[in-house]
Order: sequence, then structure tokens, then C-alpha cells
Amino acid sequence: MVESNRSAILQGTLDLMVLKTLEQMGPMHGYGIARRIEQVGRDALVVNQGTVYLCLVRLVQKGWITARWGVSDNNRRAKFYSITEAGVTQLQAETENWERIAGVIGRVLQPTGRG
Amino acid sequence: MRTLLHVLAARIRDVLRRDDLDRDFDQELQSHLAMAEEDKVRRGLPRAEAQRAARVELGGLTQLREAGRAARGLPLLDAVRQDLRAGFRGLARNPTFTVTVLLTLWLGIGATTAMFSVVNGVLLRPLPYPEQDRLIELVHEAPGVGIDEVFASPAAYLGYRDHSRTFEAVGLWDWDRSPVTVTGSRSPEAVRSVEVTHELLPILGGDPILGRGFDAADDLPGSAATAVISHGFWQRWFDGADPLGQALVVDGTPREVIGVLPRSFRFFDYPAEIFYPLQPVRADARFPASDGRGIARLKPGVGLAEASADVARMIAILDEEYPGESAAALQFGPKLRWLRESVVGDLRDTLWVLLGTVGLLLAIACANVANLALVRAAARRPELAIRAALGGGWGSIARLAVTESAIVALAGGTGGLVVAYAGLSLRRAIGGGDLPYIMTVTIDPIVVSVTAGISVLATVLFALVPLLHVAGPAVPLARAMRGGGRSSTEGREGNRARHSLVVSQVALTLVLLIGSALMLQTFRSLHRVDPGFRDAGGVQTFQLTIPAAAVPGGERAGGPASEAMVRLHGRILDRLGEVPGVEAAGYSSFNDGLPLDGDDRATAIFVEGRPPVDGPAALREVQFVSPRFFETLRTPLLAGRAFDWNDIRQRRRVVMVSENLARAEWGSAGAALGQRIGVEPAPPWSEVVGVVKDVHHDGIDRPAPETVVFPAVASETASFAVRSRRAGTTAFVRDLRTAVWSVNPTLALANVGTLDDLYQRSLARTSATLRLLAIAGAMALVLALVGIYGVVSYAISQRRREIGIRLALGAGNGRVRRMFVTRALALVGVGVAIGLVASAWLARLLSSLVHGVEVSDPATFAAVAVALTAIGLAGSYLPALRASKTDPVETLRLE
Repeated sequence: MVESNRSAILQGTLDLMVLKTLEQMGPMHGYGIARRIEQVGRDALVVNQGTVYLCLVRLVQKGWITARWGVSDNNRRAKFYSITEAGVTQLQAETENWERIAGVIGRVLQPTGRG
Repeated sequence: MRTLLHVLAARIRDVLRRDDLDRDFDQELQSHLAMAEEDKVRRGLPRAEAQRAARVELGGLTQLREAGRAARGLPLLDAVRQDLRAGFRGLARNPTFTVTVLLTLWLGIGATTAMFSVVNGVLLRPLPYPEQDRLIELVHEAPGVGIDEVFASPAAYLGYRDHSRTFEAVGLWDWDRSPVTVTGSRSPEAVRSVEVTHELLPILGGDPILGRGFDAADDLPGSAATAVISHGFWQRWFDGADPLGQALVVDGTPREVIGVLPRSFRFFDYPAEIFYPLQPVRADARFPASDGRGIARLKPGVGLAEASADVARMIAILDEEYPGESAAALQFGPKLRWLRESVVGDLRDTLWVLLGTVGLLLAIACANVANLALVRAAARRPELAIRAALGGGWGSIARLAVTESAIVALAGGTGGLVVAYAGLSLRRAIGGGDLPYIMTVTIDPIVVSVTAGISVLATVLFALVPLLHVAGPAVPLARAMRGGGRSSTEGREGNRARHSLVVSQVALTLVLLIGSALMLQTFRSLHRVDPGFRDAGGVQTFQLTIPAAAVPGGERAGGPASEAMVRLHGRILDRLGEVPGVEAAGYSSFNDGLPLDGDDRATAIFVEGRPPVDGPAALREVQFVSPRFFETLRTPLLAGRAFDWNDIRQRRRVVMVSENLARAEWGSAGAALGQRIGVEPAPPWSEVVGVVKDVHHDGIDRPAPETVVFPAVASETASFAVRSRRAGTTAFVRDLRTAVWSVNPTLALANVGTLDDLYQRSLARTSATLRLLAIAGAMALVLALVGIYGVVSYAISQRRREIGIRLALGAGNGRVRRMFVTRALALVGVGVAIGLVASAWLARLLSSLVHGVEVSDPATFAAVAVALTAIGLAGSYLPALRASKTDPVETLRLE
């Protein structure tokens, strides 16, 4: 059960991206989410598509997203995910948290010139 | 926190539908692959290439499936599953241990559950009535005349209704235990009925499901005759058709059915099917009197003491308002009691004794299980020590032990429930026909939760014993290892624990055995009691009710109908006498003339020429019998003669008395003949013409009442007794019925049985208690024997090497045997001593059940103590005998 710290951070980041995607784009299927994250990352971010699905399982368990089988644009059966209210709340909290950490890390990593 | 719970709930849910979710996840991945492949084909890749690329980007399918399952799974569950498997394996390795423990638990838990379900149904929630905590029965006492129970009366009902400050509602009811005869479109049927005032059914929560209940108007004398019927009677008599407004001819009186009670309604333990208004007549009411029984619903918050004070206040008022004797002279006062006490009655003592008995049995069973667990823990000590030494945390070892005992306890609890279910048929043997049928005894959620509680408790005990033992303050590996296979005696604390378990087992067993022995003596003593009749199995009994209206000559008792009624009864007796196989037949007037029928009829009796003593006279049992009645029962005539038909037809003033009455009044049976007695201290007197042997009318365990027997009189109901070898067979009853119908085809036989049924019913409680105590005692004995045997065997197995050395050094076989037997006997001795003290204290609880023997009977105590010691001797001698036959060379070589 114990996960290494590295994967935990990656996991958290991926959770955040998936939630953000669903919040922005509305209900989407797994493939769509994976493609969207790749596109936004402009291929700089290589996402293992399989881990997206594991991430989705986790988020459903936490009650932040819900899943429902539906039909895709090209008439294919696919599982669609949408963000829940709890998910939106969580996204806000995580976003603030992320911005704070990003700010701190940014400041820490800033070239020291002025002091 | 909420999220955590959410995840846990989701995971548990997911684990439960693991296969579904696996398939779902798979389908999702397949859908992903299809979409990715299509995308790539659209972007110009060849299909085969696109397919491959899609798979690569997604990652290995199998790993993904596993990872998905892990993400959804419950890792703890897997650990539990592993523990369970290990637990089962551990138990399966020791089948003897497992089977012994399970059997012990099944018996212990099963017996306790069954018994508890009875106590729960009878003592804790006895009445199926709403707000039973506010229902009381109106009972009085009159110590001035030596009567400790006087029920209600119309005057009490009317008076309390008028003046009460503490009652919300008062109701009066009266029953004639004899059934009424319902006639009409169907063949006549004997049906039990109750007369009630209009408040009574509502107090008991009997709201009709059809029609209406009684109201105040129905209670007015002279109003239209109405009836409310039971659900069962409605279904049977009317086949479920609309009964409202239909007429029922009850004992010749047409009554209009106005309501049907719910199926669940029970009128105490009396299977009444027809209720009709009591219609008390104020002008006729006397006070104090005993006529009918009253119940009341107290106002909220009123206690028994407050209600009693209120009744005492009202008695003074009623004494003025109604004619009758002076309440003050009788010392007439309230003796109110809760309705549930009335219903449960003296069954309470019996049930607590029975529950205590099974409780003791369970304690013995648990002691045995704990003992076995200790032995096993000791045997597993090296294994566990090795595990600990190899780095197995105590936590995981403890988990294993707990899992193992949980399996055992669960199996024990489930099996116990099964045993209890099966045992509820045995319950008929335990509680017998003694349980008021009003109380439904079932295994309900309460009982199940109690059983579950016992199982959990057993688990904890069962798990704790080995844990405490093994996980004691840092057991050094070396010592634990040595303690295992080798000769050194194992930890002193372990011995002490085992020994105290054996001692308590012996003590508890002794208590049960002494209880059984006391009940056994009671049983034998009761069987030695001469009931006053003989060969009860050969007497068929039944009751006939002939409505006065059905007798030619009309009118109720007193008029010319009386003679017609007596003639009719005589004709019926003649016909009964003609039935093949009948040796003798007789009847007694009214519905309470048979011995042990649970009813009595008493009056004051005065002797001619003897001035009445000051104060009210003592009451004597009275009976009204036909010729040959005592001959039918085989009650010996000790002096004088029995009645003949002339006595009855000519209404001669003659009586017979019981032997004890003759002795009390005139010194001997012979001296009673020719004496004259009466029910008033004035003429007309009746001459004593015969003396019969005492009959235990009130119960085999109660003294025979002093009885005066009058010639039969006209009564609507009469109790018949027919002596025949065919008694008790259906064919015989059919023949009797045909004989009765040949006289009057509208009559129905009621309460058909044999005199032996009444006799057995009188002994039922004693024999049931005896049976249960005997079963419990026998089980306890077996368990104690197993316990002693186990401990001695274990001690021997631990000291095998020492025994070998002793034998090799020339100690005799006898000496080795003595060594073990002496030690075991010391334990048994301590247990017996403790048990004797406990029994002396506990046996008092049996005092209401015991007859013909003192609860502290020294002979019984001594005999049981000796017997138990002898059994302890046997239990320890057997293993010791085996030990002393050990070949020392063999033993020492093994080391």
C-alpha cells in the first residue's frame, strides 16, 4: 500500500490535470482526457495513457468524478466521466495549494541576485 | 475524513462486485484502444501499425488490469483472507481439539439461546398488549377470613369506575371455563367464551378489524344481545363471509355479531372465541364479593402503591354504597398486581432456575473451551516463539490467534443457533404445556443478538487465553522451546490457570447435580403421593354444556327445568354406560368437578350442634357428584355408602365427606357417619352417609383439600368421567359422542381428555424442570470428566520423561498412578468443597419447586459429592493407568 513519494507527487499532479480538464471541457471519455492532456502539454508532457485510467478509478472512488457509459462522437460505446461538486471544491483547493507550492518553489529556485 | 470513508465504502462495494468491475474496466480499455486506433488510421497510419501504436501508448494490458484491480481492491481484505486460510488450516490440523471445542460451544450456546428465548418471551415481554407497563389486575385480599386472593366483582368494577382517581379505564370480565354451545346452520360446536364489559377489549388493544367493539350501551342490562368474535371463529364458522349482523345462537340465545377481533388478539392464555357483554346489574351488586376479574389501565405515571392507596380509599366508599358484609371485618384490602405478574405467576421461579441452569452449563462449557485452548496454546508455544524469533510481529501472531478463535466462535454461535432452533421443539419438554400460550416464544432479533453477544464474548475469552499465555512478559525463546517437547514442567502460571478451571468446573457441576438430585427426589416423592384416584389413564373425561333453554320445561336452574336437566344427565350416563368397553361412568355438576382440573369451588361448612366459631368460617372444597362417580375414578369409599339415584332425584339431604374432613371434625372416618352438616349454621342439615379417600384436587404437590360432596344438582355444564380400557382412543371418543347425540344431537363434547392428562399436567412443571436439570447435569458431568481427563493427560504428557526416569529407577506402577490421581483428587476436592457451599446457597432458589425433601438435605449433598469425587477419580485414573504402563526405555529413547 505504501507508495513512493515520487509517484505520489506525479499522481497528485495527474489528478489535478484530469479534474481541471473535466471542469473545463465537461463530460469526456478516458481517451479524450488523455488526448486533451497531451495536447495542452504540447507533447512536452508525456502521459502514460494507462495511468490516466488508474487515476480515473481513484477519482471515482474519492467521489470527485462520476462515470457513466455513453456513446462517443463516432458512435462508439465509451465511458464518460464528469466532475462532481465535491470534485470542483477539491479542484479549487488543490489549485490554490498548487499555486502556493509553485510560488514557493519558484522563489526558491529563483537565481539569487538581489540579496 | 469524509473522502476517506467514501473511498473505503467505494472499495468495499467494488470488492463485492469484483468480477463486474474487472469486465467494465476491460471494456473501457478496449473502447480506448478502438478510438486511438481509429484516430491514427485517420491520420494516415496503416491499420496494423495504428493498432500496435495504440497498444504501446496505453501500456501493457495485463499490468493495467492488475493495477486497476489493486486500485479498487481492499488490501486488508486479502490479509484477512490469508489469516482465515491459516486459521482454518490450524484448526483442521487438530480435528480432535476443534470438534471438542465446537461441540462444547454448540451445546452451551444452543441451550442458553433456547432457554433465553423462553425467558425473553415469558418474563421480559409476556403480554401482547399495548402499554403493558400500565396494566394491572384488580386483586384484593381478605386476611380477616384467611383468603389471600379476592378478585373483582360487579360492585368493584362499578365503584372503581365511579370513584377512581388513578385509573384511566377499568374493565371486568368473567368466564365460565365451560364452553358455550353455538348452534345454527352448522353442526353444534363447543366454543369458549368470555363476558366482558365494554372497556375490557380496548384496554387489551383488541380493536375490531371488522365492525365495532362494545360500547356503554351494550353493557346496559336488557339491551340487544350482541357478540364480538375472534378472527379464527369468523374464518371457521362463517368461512370468512361477512359476519356483521349475522345471528349466532349461543347457548340458545340468538346474538348479533357486531365485530371481529384481529387475528393476533389473544385473551390471556384462554382461547376465547366469542365475547359478549357482561352487563353488570348495579341493583344486584354486593360488596365485597368475588365474581369476575377486573383489570385497569393506570393513568400515566401512576405506580402500584399509588393505585393501591386509591383502591383502599374507594373500598371504604363502596362499603357504604353496596350491601354485603363489612369490608372492615374481613380486613378487605387491595392487593393489586401488574397484569404481567398475573399472567406469568409462579412460572417466574421455575424459569429463572432453568435459565440459571443453562447459564451454569454455558459457564462449564466455556471453562472447558478455555482449558482446551490453554493446553493447545502451550503446545503451540514453541511454534509461536519461533515465529516471534524469526521476526513475526506479535501483532500478526495475535491476529492469527484471534482469527482462529473467531472462526471457532462464529461456527459455535451459528451451530448454537441451529441447536436452539432444534431445541425449541425440546422446549415443549422443558416448558411443557405449562407455558401460557399467550406468550409467543420465538428466536427473535433480541435472542439472536444475545447469542451473537455470547459468541463474541466466547471469542474474546478463547483468544485471550492463549494470547495472555504466549505473549506474556517476553517469553524467552529458549524457555519456550524447552517447555515444548521436553521434560521440564511447563510454566507454573499455566498450571494454575488450568487447575482453577478444573476446580470451577467441578464446583459448577456439583451445583447442577445437586439441583438434579433434589428435583429427582421431588419427582419421586410426588409419584408416591396417592392422588386419591387410581389408573387415571383409564378414565376418559369431557364436559357437556346443555343450555337451560334446550331442556324441555324451559327456564333456568331452580324451576322444573332442574329435574329435567338431572333426568337428561341421567339418560346420557345410561347411554354412555352402553358404549362397548365402558366399566363405569359418572359426572360431577359444573365445570370444575374433576380432580386437578385447575379450578375449585369452596364454601363455609357448619356442623350441627357445634356453635360457629367467632369470625368467618374456614372454607371447604365442595363437589356435586352423580352415583358411581367415585367408583369411576376408583376413589375408595372408606365408610358408609355412596350416593344412588334416589338421593339425587328426591333431593335427599345427604352428603359425603373426605377422610381428612372427617378426621378434623369428628376424629375418624367412622365417627363422621350420621353427623349432620350444612352450608349455613342453621337447618336444614344434611346427613353424612359416606366417607371417601382424600383427593388432591388442587395439585399433586398441594395438600388434599377437606371436601364435602353433595349429590349432583342441575347445572348447565357437567364434567363426565367414563372408565374404560379404551379410554384415550379416538374410536372411543367417537362412540361416546354418538351416545351423547343419541340423547340430544345439538350437544358438543368439550375439553376431551383423560384423567391421566390432568395428572401429568399437574406434574408437568416438576418433570420438565427435572428433565432439564438432569440433561444439564449429565452434560456438565461429561464436560467435567473431559476437563479432568484432559488436565491429567496433559500433565502426564508434560512429565513423560520424569515418569520414565521414576519407573526406570524402580518406582512401582502404583506409585506413579497415585502421584497423578492424588493431585487430580485434590483439585476435585477443592471443587466439591466450593460447590457444596455454593449449592447450599443456591438451592434456596429451588425451594418453590421442591416437594417432600429439604433443599439443604444433607444426604443428597453428601451422595452427590461422593459420586462426583468418584467420577473425578475415574477421570484421572484412566490416564494415570496408561502412564504407569509406559515403557521407560521407550520414553527415554525418545528424548
